[in-house]
Formats: sequence, structure tokens, C-alpha cells
Amino acid sequence: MSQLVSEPTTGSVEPAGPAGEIPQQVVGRSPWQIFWGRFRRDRVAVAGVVFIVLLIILALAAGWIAKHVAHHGPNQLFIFEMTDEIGLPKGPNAQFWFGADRAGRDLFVRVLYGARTSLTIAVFATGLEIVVGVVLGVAAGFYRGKVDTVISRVSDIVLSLPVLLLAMGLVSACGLQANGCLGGLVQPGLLLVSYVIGLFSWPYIARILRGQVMSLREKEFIEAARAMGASNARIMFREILPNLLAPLIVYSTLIIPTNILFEASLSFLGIGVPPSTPSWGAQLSEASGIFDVAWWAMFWPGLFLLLTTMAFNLVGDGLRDAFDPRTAAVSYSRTREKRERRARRRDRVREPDQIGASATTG
Amino acid sequence: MKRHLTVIAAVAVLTLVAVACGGNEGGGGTSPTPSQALQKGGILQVESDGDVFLGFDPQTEYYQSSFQIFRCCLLRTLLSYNGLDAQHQGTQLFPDLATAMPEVSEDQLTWTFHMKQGLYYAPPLQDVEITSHDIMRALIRTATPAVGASYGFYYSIIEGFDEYSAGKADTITGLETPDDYTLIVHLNEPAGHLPFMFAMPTTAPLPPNPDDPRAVLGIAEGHDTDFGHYLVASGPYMWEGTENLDFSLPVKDQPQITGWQPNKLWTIVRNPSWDPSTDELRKAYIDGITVTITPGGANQVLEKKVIANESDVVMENGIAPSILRQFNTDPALKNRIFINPGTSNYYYTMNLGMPPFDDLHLRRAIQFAVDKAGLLRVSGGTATGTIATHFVNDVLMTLSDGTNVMEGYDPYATPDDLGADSPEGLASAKAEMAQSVYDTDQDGICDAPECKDVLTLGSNDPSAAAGHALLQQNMEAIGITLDLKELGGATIYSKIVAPANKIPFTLSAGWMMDWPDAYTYMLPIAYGPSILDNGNSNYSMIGATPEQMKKYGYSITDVPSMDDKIQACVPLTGDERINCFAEADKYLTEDIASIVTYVFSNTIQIVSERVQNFTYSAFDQQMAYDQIALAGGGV
Repeated sequence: MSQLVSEPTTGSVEPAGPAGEIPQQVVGRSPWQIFWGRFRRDRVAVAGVVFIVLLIILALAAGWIAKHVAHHGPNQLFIFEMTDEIGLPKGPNAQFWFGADRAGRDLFVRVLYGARTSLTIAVFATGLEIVVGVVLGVAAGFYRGKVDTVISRVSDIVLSLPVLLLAMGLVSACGLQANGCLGGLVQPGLLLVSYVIGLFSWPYIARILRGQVMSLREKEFIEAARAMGASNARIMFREILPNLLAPLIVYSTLIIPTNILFEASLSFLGIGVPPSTPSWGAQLSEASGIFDVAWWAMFWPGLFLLLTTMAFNLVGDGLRDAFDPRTAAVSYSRTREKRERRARRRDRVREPDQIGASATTG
Repeated sequence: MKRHLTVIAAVAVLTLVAVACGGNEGGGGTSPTPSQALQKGGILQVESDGDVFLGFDPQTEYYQSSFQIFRCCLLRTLLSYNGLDAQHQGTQLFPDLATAMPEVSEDQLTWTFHMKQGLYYAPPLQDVEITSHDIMRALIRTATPAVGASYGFYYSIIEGFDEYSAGKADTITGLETPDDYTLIVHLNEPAGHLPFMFAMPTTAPLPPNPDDPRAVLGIAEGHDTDFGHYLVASGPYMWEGTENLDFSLPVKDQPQITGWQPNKLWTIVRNPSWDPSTDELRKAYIDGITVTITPGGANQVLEKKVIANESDVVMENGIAPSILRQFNTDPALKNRIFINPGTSNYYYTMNLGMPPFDDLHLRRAIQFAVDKAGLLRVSGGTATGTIATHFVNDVLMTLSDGTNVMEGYDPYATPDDLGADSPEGLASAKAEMAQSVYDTDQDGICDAPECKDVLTLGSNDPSAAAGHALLQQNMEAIGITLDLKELGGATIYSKIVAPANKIPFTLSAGWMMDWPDAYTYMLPIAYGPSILDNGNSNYSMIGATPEQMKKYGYSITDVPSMDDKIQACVPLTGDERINCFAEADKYLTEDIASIVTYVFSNTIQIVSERVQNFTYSAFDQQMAYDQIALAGGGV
């Protein structure tokens, strides 16, 4: 039987009233309800979720917005309308809310489309990373021995690879045949960037999960399952994986901003997504030579990139704290501590003979 | 200078076209000041964001900055330039070490130079006279394979040059030095450009080694790859510390010149051996030059130093848009900016061996469709340069009386040069496309699969992105979609210079003259026999033979050629030569149409307030250090 190793269920218990009253029925909360309750109280994390949801909506609606609200496509050029005589873009106005980029394109629309790129990477690259990381991390932690040695060493090697350089090499090599590498499987573009990011980042997940699996496999319920004749596969899928869900969710969320920034860096260097695909990193790169005379060109993509990565980071932190308050951020527990201390001071009944004591402990 | 392929889009070269010299409203061309007003003295402070990377070796260098230092200052050649712009004969040749222009035989196969006597090298060779044998020695070194001379191929027309290179002879049989001051050059074929070749640094006199008179390469013996550190000057200036060179020591023990510290500092001082009475070309007002290198430094930072008068000039020709804006708006700065037409062009090339570019009508449709006004705008505006309507820069199409032979030539004219972004331009493009085999329904929009996802290589430099987006828009208007890969300059270069890679469409290409002659464009880029397995510049494969096309794996083996048009111009000189190459350029533009040249760029330089007598040297396309002076003698 599977068992979730989690905090003991605590019901909300009504304090006992004056003598004689029977306490109310205790209703237990499931671990997920506890988790959600804690998460909800972390206002910053909730703000992050709201932002991400809004961003997803904007990204999905980018096409509609471009057509019906801004009336400019992402690749429509307005060279003579929105650049000056020396080719510098013009700033925000009534039709171009974020101003124009160097090709006279509507920056507002392009920033929205850039959200699509970042969110796509968030999903695909992270997804790939998780799949590979889970498979290898669980295998290493569960089987140990030679399997662990091999996987851990490969892990070390991959972690020490100069990823940016490799990414550049891959893109250069696969970018120049008409059909990419491996018979068209590896085409420069969003997918290649996802592969590069995912395939070079899996060791982070793998290492974390390996450690978790190693401690889990010593627990009694695993022994019990084995005693009942469960196969390795069943143990891994039914006993271990469900217990990894919490750390997996947390670390995935925390890795998303890293991946988004990685794509932005690749695109900044010109080795990320293809030129026609709007990407915040590429937009930053295009603005790099002119930001002193065209602040908007760098400001808007930079702001969105910042807010997006911050939102994911805050959500990830909030998730982690909600799953296990022992790892709660200092600020959270300090806030809670302050609140509790204030509550204690309010409720304290000062006994005459405790005045001296309260003065030193208050 | 630059037989050079800039694989980065233009951008920062912003200049107003210089119309006339002198008396212009500050900012154009050359403004020579009467010489009485100019004082000798001062050290010119120059900033640069990078060092030369071909070793400052006269046989290997081909970039502007090194050519500039050689011509103005370190090296004299048989013939040279006057350091002025094209309107003041800056593209004409004058005798420098020679007493006069060379005598040429009737059949144009024999050229004779007579040299000035009593000229000596810089210390420590101040007692070594400059002779015709030293010119011969320089050419021997040019022909020495281990040195890797960049321009060796031009000198193949000298009899015996290739045989010497191949090791089949121990001297260049076509060069004769009957006495110390005479050089006779025998050619394999008539070549009107021979005089230009003897103004190149690779022919600057190479001194013998007094301690080893039998050394074939003189003081360069044993310095095949590092001769730049042992250069002994023949011009008005020399590297600081030259006098400490010691050629009596074994090669590995010889000290290097201290004046050239790669990637840090260049210090150039006066050469005491230089006799100004023998040199009518160089004024040499300043006492010396220091060039401070900030590797990877941002040009903007260096330019700001010049504006603040902390430095005198930045070596590169680019200028950041924000700096240009400052000069446009601040009246105090107006006299400190100089803009001149350069000899760089920027173009796209279509590979004649790759569909759909094997169809002339499709190529001509593209010529109509490209919005050159838009390209110029996003490259920095009308100050960046002029819209190009043919291949070779107008500066080189200018006759001795100043007439531009190509004035008004615009076979692919569209309203305001907007290309397919204007209705008439689009109509012209479609009219051509409708005649193409790839437009099966003849509606002016390509519908064949060959027009979809055409592999295209362009620079990933941020400044190029806007131009690429515009091009894609123009191409889509006539039914061509590009599979654009934006890559680093070095990566693109390594791919496009090998014909076997069969790249259909190349953006971000540019050229610059080697010397003021259209031949230096046509030969490497439009001539069949110039096609190389690697290091090729003829990306279009113009004039390739069927054997060559098969060898590189092309399925199309029949491509247009203009070899005969180019060969017809080679023996000619002067205005006749220019007119001949103008006809060749027209043929290339209209009848082959595989190259879309969109801008002839200008050069821009800003200087500190103490720089006087700014002149623009058309040959090396920089401020002429040998002509300028510093206010008050630099005090």
C-alpha cells in the first residue's frame, strides 16, 4: 500500500470552552489543503501566480491584440514612420505604446509575442529537463552501486561543460545545412534551444532527486512493499515517485526562470531562436547599441523578463515554504514570529509579581 | 588596403557625401590650410579598440589601419599617394622613391623604374642606402610561401614570380636590377595596373642585413612570421626603439622593437634618416604618434574622449548614432567631423548555381524589389552613405577630370528607391518575376517550391537585424521566403568562402578596394578563374566552368560569365581603363544581376580641436597623419 510520508494530520481543534462543553467535531485537513492554506497566506507568491496567469493570457492573446488593439503585426515594419533620419527608433506614442525597435516595429506587440517564446521554453525545456532528471535521478538513487556511479559521473561531466560555448557550436554546426542536423531532427530554432537547455540542465534535478530517493528507500514502508513482493518498478512508481512530487514541483518552478534567462542569453548572443521569432533576449541585444538614445527599446523587454523571472522565483519559494515550513524563508517566519509576539503581548495578563519578570522577558 | 570582406552590416559609418573640398560648411572632405599657418611639433594621440592582427608585416597586412601607418609614416614605396581625397588626386599615383612614373615598353610587357639616390634607412641601418635590390628583395619575400603574403596573387603577372614561389627557380627571372637605382619589371601579360602594385607596402624596400649580406631575405631572414617586430623604416617616421635592433645576433636572440606593444600601445617617432627634400608627398608636421589600444573597448567611449579633447582621433571609421547626434546638434563640434565617400560597398549575393537564382528574370525581380532607401535608413540614415545602383563605388568610377562615369545610372530605379515598398517598384519587380520559370502562373509572385525557405546566411550583429527583416518583407512580396540563419561573422565567412557548401543567398557581404581601381573588385568577385576551393570571394560563381560546378557538387553547371569583359580592361590605363570597367559593371548589374549592391558607404572621423589641416587620404581612407598638424605645434 502506498503511503504518503508527510506531516501528521492536524485538525483544527476548537479550544475547550468553559468546563462541561463538549469540543466540536474534529475535521482533518488533507496535506494538500494544508499546503494550499499556507500558500494562500504568502501574498507575494500569490501575486506571482497572478502575474504568470496574466502573462499566459497575454501571450495567448498576442495575435488578437496585435490585430484588433494595436493594429500592428509583430513583423510589420514602419521604417520611415518610426525611425529618424539616422535610423534611430522613435519612442512611445499613441499608436506605438512601447515605442518602436530599430526596424520600426511595434515593440508592444513584439514584447507580447516574446512572452510566447519565454513561456514555450519554460514548458518544453523544463519539461525535458524534468523527464531526463527524474529518470536518471531516481535510477541513481534507487539502484545505487554501478548505476549510481555512472549516472553521477555523467552528471558531473555535464555540469562542468561550458554550456554556452557548446550551444554556440551546436547552433553553428546545425544551422548551416538546409535541413539541420540528424536528418532534420535538430533544426535551429525554438526546439533546438529547448533541447540544449534541457539536455544540459538535467543534472540539477537528478542530483536533488537522487538524494531524496536515497533517503526514502531506507524507510520502512519501502521495506514493507518489498516484503510483499513488489517489483523494483512498482516500488519506484507507486512508492517513491509520489513522494518526490513536492520537491519536483518546487524545483521545477524554480528552474523555469533559469531556463527563461538561458534562452534570453542565447538569443542575446544571436544563437537562440530564429530572427523572425520575437524573443526578449534578442530584443535586448538589438537595443544594446542604442539604449542611451532609445531607452524604451531596452526597458520594456527587460522589465518583462525581470518580472517574469521574479514571479516564477516567488512562486517557487512560496511552494517550497508551503510544502515544508521548516524551510520557510527567514522573512516569512520572521513575519509570523512578529505577529505571534504582538499577539502574545496583547493577550498577556500582567500579574503584579510578574512585572519584573515581564520587563526582562517581554 | 582592404581586400577585405566585411561580414558585418554597415551601421556606424555615417557620413555626408563630400561634394567639394575647401570652403565647405565644415564637415566635408578635405580642408587644406595654407602651410604657413601650420606648425611642426606635437604627438598625435590616437585611440583604437583593437590591434592589427596580421602582424604589422608589410607582406601580410591588408587592413586600413596598417596601410595608413605604412603609407603616411613608416614605409616609402616606388610610387605612392598624396594623402588627399579623390577630388585632389588622392586616387592618383605619384613618384615616391622613384624619380618619375615608370617607362613602359610598346608591348606593355616591360616597365622600368629609376630610383632617387642617397636615401637611407632608419637607425640602426642609417648607413645602408635604399636601392633597387631592396625592392627586388621585398618581392622575393612576397613570393616566399612560408611568409604567406596576402597579395601574392596580384604579382603572378611578373615573369618568374610563380616559379620562384613553387621553388622551381632561385630568383624571380622577370625582375632585373642592372644597377643600384634601376628596376626593370617583365610581365607575362600586359597589365595597366602595374603602377598601383608598386605603391603597395609589400613592395616597400626590404633592407639587406649588413652582418649577413648573403641572407636572401635581408633583415627579415628567420622572421617569416614575426617580421613586424623587426621593421626598419624608410619613411618620415619609425617605430620607437628601432635603433636598438641588432641584426648581428642570431635570429632567436634579436631584440624586438619596443615601439609596437601589441594590444597595448604603438609609439611612433621621427625617423632621423628621412630627408624631407626627397619627399614631396609627406608634410610630416607632427613629431610622433601614440596609439592606445583598448581591446574590446566600446567605440562610443573612445569617441567621447575625442569630444572631450582628451585624445585626438579614433582609428576606426565608425561612429555611434548617439555621438553623431551630438555633432549634428552642437554648433561647436561642427568643424570637428569629417565625412567622405569611402570605397566600401555592401551587397547581397545570389549563387547562380542554386535555384531559384539560376533564373535571370527572378534575379532582376529581386533587384527591383529591394528597398534600398529603407536599408540605408536602418543602417544609419542618408549620412551613412549613398544608395548604390551598381557594384563598384562611384569614387573609382571617377575620371581624371572629376566626372563620375556612372552618374545617373539606375537600371532598377523605383520611386524614392523604395523597391517593393512602393507600388510602382512592386509592379516592376512583379513584371520581371512573371517572366521567370519559377512563376508558373505568371502573376508576378513566385510559386515554385524553389522559392520557399531559401537558405540565407546573414550576420547576427544586432545592427543587421532590421535590414534582414526589411529584406524578408521585400522578398515575400514577390513570393520568396527566406530560411534566414543569423550567425557570427567568422562562422558565416568560413561557410560562404567554400563553393562546395552551396549557400544560395548571402547577406552581410561587403568589399573594399585594394588600390583605387575597379579591377580589385572585379577580379576576386566576378572572374571565373578566381574561384577557389576555400577563401573564395566569387560567391555568385560568375564565370565558373561546368567542370568547376560539377566538382563542387552543383546540379546546375551552366552559369553566366564576364571573364572576357574583365580581361579587356586589364591592359588599359587611366580614363580608358575606368570607362572599360564601367561597362563591365553595367554588364554585371543588368545582364548577370546576381549581386544586389545597396549602399556605398562613407567614412566618418571626428577629431579633437587641436587637429589642423584635416585631409582624408583616399587610399587608406583615414585621416592623413602625414598631412595634419597640431595647433600651436601641439604645445
